[in-house]
This record gives sequence, structure tokens and C-alpha cells, in this order.
Amino acid sequence: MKDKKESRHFPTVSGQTMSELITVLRRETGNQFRLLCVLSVGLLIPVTLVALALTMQNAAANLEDRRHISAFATDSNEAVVATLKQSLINNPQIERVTILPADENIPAILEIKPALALTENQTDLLARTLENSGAFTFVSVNRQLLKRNAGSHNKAKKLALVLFLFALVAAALTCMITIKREILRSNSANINLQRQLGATPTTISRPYIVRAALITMLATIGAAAMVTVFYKTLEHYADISTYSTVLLDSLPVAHLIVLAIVSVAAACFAAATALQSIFNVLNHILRKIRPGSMLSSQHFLIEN
Amino acid sequence: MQGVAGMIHLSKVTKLSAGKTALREATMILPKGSYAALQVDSEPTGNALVRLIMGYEQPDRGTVIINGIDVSNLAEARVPFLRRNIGWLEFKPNLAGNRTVIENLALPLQIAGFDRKAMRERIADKLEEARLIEDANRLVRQLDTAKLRLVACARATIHNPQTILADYPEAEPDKEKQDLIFGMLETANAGGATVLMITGKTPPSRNFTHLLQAFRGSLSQHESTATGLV
Repeated sequence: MKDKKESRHFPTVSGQTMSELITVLRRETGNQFRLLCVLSVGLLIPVTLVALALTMQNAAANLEDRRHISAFATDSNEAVVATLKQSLINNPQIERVTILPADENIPAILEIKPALALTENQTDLLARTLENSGAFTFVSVNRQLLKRNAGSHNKAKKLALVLFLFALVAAALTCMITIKREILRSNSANINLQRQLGATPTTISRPYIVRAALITMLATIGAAAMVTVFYKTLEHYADISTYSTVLLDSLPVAHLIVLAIVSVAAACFAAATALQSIFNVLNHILRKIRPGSMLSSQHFLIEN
Repeated sequence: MQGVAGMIHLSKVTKLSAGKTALREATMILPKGSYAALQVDSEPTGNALVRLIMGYEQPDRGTVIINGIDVSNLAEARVPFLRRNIGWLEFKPNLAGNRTVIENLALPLQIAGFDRKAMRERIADKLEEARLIEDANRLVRQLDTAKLRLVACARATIHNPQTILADYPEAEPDKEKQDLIFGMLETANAGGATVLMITGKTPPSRNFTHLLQAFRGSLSQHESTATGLV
């Protein structure tokens, strides 16, 4: 074999070049598309869970049913106070107003809850605007509560982000391994043929790993796009803060339970997928150390 | 290993298959360049022999040496390298149906590490030898059985393996195509490959150097210089 190239690496069997790989993929368009759709939906589940957890966490940060701004009305007349309340509710920066009627020595007080999106500075600005309007003698901001809410909001966001990344990476890893196995299984006839011709397990699996990586990438993009659409739609067409406030006002315990279940479910899913990935990697390493066990577990079918 | 390349050596091999004895104390010595025919009385015997030679299974007793490699004690990781030096023409051609004839012929060459230029030259020569030039770019699943056997034979011989196993090569009813198949096997044999043909019938009239018979798992071997049947 004078013309045989003494190469140190083994060429890929299913395609030495990208164009060959694309040719092979094109012949199996139906299978690849179905697999891609299934994976996109599969990836959507953990991502949606975490996105939902993030939404609920944000809502939970606004859980406190206590006043943020207390405004003492200049005129405690009921009709005047009612008009004031109506004008405040019409302000988009204000979510809710509760009236505490005037007492003998204390004027009427309006408990104002600012909108969820308002930062601490914006809340201060709102309080100053109210004070300067002349309708109130004194406006007090519960700074401690504001800070605590902002802190819990930030922590919740960070936690949700970490959970989100964790779940995404674990899910992507698991998906890639699953796809690789699926592709290997659906191509078992070709793989048996390659084994018959003397291909090593590495040579056989290399083109399929590349293919699995491509499909995982596309599936992740698809899932991310779907989640974005889902999340944006929710933001536009449902007032999350109002919904959560109504829910929390009526059933705060139920909300907390829902939030806990969703968070635990997302965490469990992430942990399970991560464990499965670790298990797969360990199994792969074990098989590398003891190649006999891997080969004996495969059935080398002879078609005769 | 140079001196024993191409040799098939079975020494007192016993192999059970599905609870029955497929090979019983079987001994066979085929030196490099042999052109042998083995007539088997049962399919399990032929299958067991092929599986042992290809390294799919190990003998229950005895030793199997192929191309100087003791298959009986071969590590699984080394089995692919054994198979690269064996060409196998199956009774039912095991080809990649979703690939073209050229791609199927390229498979053993890719696995063996041939460069692209060498692959192109070999494939072109083999297509001409097997008269498959017109079908070169057709998918294998579009071919009829006779052509499938031609492709399988071309693939079994294209990488110049040291050993070639042929399962019922005379099964092809089309005489012209059968001659093409035997022509490829004999060309490979002339190039130094050891060819072992396995058949359930009386071997066809060919210039076999060795004729073997398997009866209830036992092998009997005769050297032959005569042409045709013994």
C-alpha cells in the first residue's frame, strides 16, 4: 500500500468535509426537522419554568401589603380627599391608594403604593412632587421598606439568573448527549456497517457529535426565541404587577406556595439534568478506561 | 508479522452457537495467497466461522489466528484494526442505502486512512473493474440485487485487504455478474490476498488451492492443485 497515507488521525466516516456532512443531513431532512422541533419544545420547558420563576420572584418582591408613601392631606374633607385619591390613581406611577379617614387631631392620610417599576429615586421624586403640589402638608417615605424591597428584588433577580443559566447549560448538555445517542441509534445500520469495515468508536461517533452540536445550537436558538416571544407577550398583554397584587391581596399564602412549587420544580429539573449530564460524562470516562465493557455492551449484528 | 500476513489459522476451535456446537475441534491452515472454498453443511457453522475471523466473537476453546493476530485473546480496542485487513462479501450485501455507490466504495478507504487522491484513483479503477461506472452516483438503495452484490464485492476488495471472506459468491444467478464477482476475488488473490469462499453447495469450478468441508462442526481440509471439483 504505497499510496496509503500514514495519517495519525482517523478521518471522519460520514463526511470528511462540511459539504459532505450537509449532503448527508439533506438526505435526512425530515428526521432532522422532527428532531429539531421536539428538542425546541423540550428545551422550552425548563427555560419557561425558570422564566416563570423569575416573574413570580419579581412579583414576590412587591409582596408587602404596607404603605410606601404616607401623605397627610391639607384638607380632610371627604369629598376633597376622594378627589385627591382619584387623581392619584390616574397617575401611572401610582399603583394603589388607601384612605385613612381624619381623626380628631390627625388629618386624613393617603397611603400610597408606587408602581412596581419605580426605583427608590423615582419614589423620592414622586413624594417631592406630591409635597410641592400643595394638597398635602406632609409626605413621608418609608425608606427602610423601599430598600428592603429593592434588595429582595435584586437578590431574586440574581438567583433566577443563576438558576436560569444553570438549567440552560444542564439542559443543553443533556440534549446534546441525548441527540448524539438518538442519532447513533437511528443510524445503527450504518454504524454496524462501519464497525464491520474496521472503524473505531471514536471514528464512528465524531461526525455524529458535530451533527448533534449543530442541532443543539439550532434547538437552543429556537427555544430562546420562543421564550422571548412568550415573555414579551406576557409583559405586553398582562399587567403582571396588578395581577400579582390582586392575587397576593386575596391569597398571599397560595401565591407563596405556587412560587415555591415553581422554584423547586425548576431547581429539581436543573439538578436532575445536571446529574444526568455528570452521570453520562462519568459513564463515558469509565467506558474509556475499560473499553471492553463498552464494546461488549454493543450488539454487533451480522445481517446473515 | 510479515511472514504470516494473510494467513488464516484455526487450531482445535470449538464454538457453541445457540446451545449447539457450530464448530467442533476445527483446525484449518490457509497460508498467505490461498484461494480456498469451504463447503458447510449448516448455516451456523459458516456464520460462526465468519464471526470468529472478523473478531465479533471469541472461540470457546482453541486458537484463531488471522493475519498473524491471535483473535482469541485480542483486546476489543484492537478489533477494528483487525477488520481493516479483512474484506467481507456478505450473502445479503450490507451497504449504506442512503449513500451513492462511490460513497460506499469510499468507506473502507476512509476508515483505512487513504488520502483523497488515492481514493479517487482506486474508486475509478474498481468502478471500471466491476462495470459500475454508469451507476457510480446513484444511491445504493436504487440498485437491483445483482448490482448490490457487485458493489459489495467491489467494497470488500477495494482496499487490498490481506484476507477476503466471500459468503456464497456463486449465489448470483446472472452469469455475467457472477464472473465479475469471481474476477474481482481472483484479482485480489493474485495480488496476494487470502480468499476464503464459504458455500452451502458444491463449490463452483475455480482454481482453488484448498478445498474444505464442514460436517457437523468438524472441518476436513484438502489441498488441491487440480482445477475444478474434487
